[in-house]
Amino acid sequence: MVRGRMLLLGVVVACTLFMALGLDQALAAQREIGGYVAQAEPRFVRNVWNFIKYYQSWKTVGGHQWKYDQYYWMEPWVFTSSHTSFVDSQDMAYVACHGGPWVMACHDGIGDVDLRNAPAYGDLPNNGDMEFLVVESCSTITAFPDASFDWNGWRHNGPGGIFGGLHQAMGFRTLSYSDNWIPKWFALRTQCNEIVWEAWFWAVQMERAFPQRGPWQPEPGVSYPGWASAIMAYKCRYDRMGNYTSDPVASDILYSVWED
Amino acid sequence: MTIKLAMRIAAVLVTLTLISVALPVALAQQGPIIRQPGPIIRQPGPIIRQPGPLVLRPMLGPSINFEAKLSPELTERATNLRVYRLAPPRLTDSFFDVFVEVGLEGFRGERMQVGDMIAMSDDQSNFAMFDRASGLLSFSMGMADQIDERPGELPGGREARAIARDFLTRNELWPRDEKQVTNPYIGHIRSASFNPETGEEGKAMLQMLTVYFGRMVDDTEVIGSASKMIVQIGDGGKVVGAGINWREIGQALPISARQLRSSDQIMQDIQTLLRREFVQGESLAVKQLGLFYYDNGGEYIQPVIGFEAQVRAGEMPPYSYFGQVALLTSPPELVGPEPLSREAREMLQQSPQELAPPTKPGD
Repeated sequence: MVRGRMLLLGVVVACTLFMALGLDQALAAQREIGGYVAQAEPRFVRNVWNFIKYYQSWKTVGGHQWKYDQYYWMEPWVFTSSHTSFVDSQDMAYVACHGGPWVMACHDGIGDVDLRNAPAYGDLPNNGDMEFLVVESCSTITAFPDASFDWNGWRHNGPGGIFGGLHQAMGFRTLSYSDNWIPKWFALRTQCNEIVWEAWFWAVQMERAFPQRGPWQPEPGVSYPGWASAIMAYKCRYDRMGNYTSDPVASDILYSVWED
Repeated sequence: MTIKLAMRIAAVLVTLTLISVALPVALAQQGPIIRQPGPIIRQPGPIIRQPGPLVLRPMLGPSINFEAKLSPELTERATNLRVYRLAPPRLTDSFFDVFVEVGLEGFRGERMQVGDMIAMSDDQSNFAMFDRASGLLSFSMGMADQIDERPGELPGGREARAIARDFLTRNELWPRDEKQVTNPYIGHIRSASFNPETGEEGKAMLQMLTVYFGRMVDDTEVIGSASKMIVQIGDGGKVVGAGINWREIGQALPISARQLRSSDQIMQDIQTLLRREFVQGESLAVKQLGLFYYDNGGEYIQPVIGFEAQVRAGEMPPYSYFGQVALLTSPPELVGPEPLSREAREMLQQSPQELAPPTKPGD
């Protein structure tokens, strides 16, 4: 009888401590951010750091808690052969590098990761976890009107398309100018639980500059810091870090959103 | 006796724990939940084999060709500029509350605080935030709803500008000195769809207009992350979003010729900046130089030299970089990118090819 009471009391104490320490929340909804830096220019370090530093400790965003878990120099295997250990083990990947349409450069100006040939990200049955991909680079997130654009490069079941469960990918569709407040704006807005692709567009737009005396442009028709773009499954267009839909499947409609 | 003692201890423990749970909840009910950013905790990340630190390439320094130079008239004009101390932010907590009630038609959402920022979001596509420190105000009311299969029913550029201005004026967000406001551009947000099952590609649809307002002071453009207002116009000419990062100008501090950096010093600063930031650049050409005011969201607007450099590196096509260096010998605030923090480098790890996949479940 006494032993039974003691046991009951022990359970009550354990449960109370568990709740008091917030462990229930932490275990219920932890999400990870990975930061990946090209080994080319110092500003790429700054770009990634200026985002992930806002997630150094657990931050409660809506129904989830977010913290950066990985912070690595870029190598091709981070995105390809070992993706489930790196970018795809995280719920959000933030990348800064040189880039071109579809490609990212891990070391220098030569694109050695082609997202058209990358594995499907966010593919849960195959240990993929990524929900959001952010690439702060030139032109990697190529959008619908661009010359090199081909939906098959982004589709879930295309030849290596990365949307295997990935909700949103965002970056620039043009040349872009980094080393500014974009990572900070983006971090603060996502922490405030804004829709992720909207937070990216806002971060870029709030950095926009139109130097008027002379043709100051990264390329003709493009204003600093470059034009933002995003690819997403339509059902994921409202997704925030605090709450998002279930993973998209192969038949889900994709959308390209871009600015000019 | 021993059991009784154990039970008493357990009861005390339960009481203390319940108090520790109940007290913060009770306190939180007296006001909005304030989440304080905790102390900086260094996260070492997963334990991995370290093949040794990877060092960024040494600053060999690309060749830099100055195709543009500071003209005497530009340096002459610089002496007529000033340093402006910004007035305290006009927007306050109570202003934000009124704005949400009136400007955003009584928007209700979960309210949270991140540092100095107050934010609200709901389960739909609505969001608003306000930064107490800088006065930055921003919202999005249904921007994501604009993305669909129909082109937006949008006004023309002139009307969009008028709608944006009217919205800001009605909500007391329009600057007091209208002469400072410029409208350099009206941007576009477009979308297109794709059905993977049928392979059907949708057409490009114009969904929103983005009206940009910038700032001109002393006939000199203000660059940087602040002194700007952006308004998103959606279907039916409705304002569906805005970002206002604008503080009024306060005290003007005149500057003398002695406070200006010399042309040689400025060229040297540009060179140092470019060599630091483009260690892999093979050649750099400074194409343009200009005189600007600079507002980086701090307490001052100060004159700077802006420059555009064309970078050539590797197999990439040449690309442009828009940078700034200080014009004053003692600038009141940092100009250009902040130096790379030691922590940013120390925490960065090399990625081993054979890191074991995590065992945690994904979601």
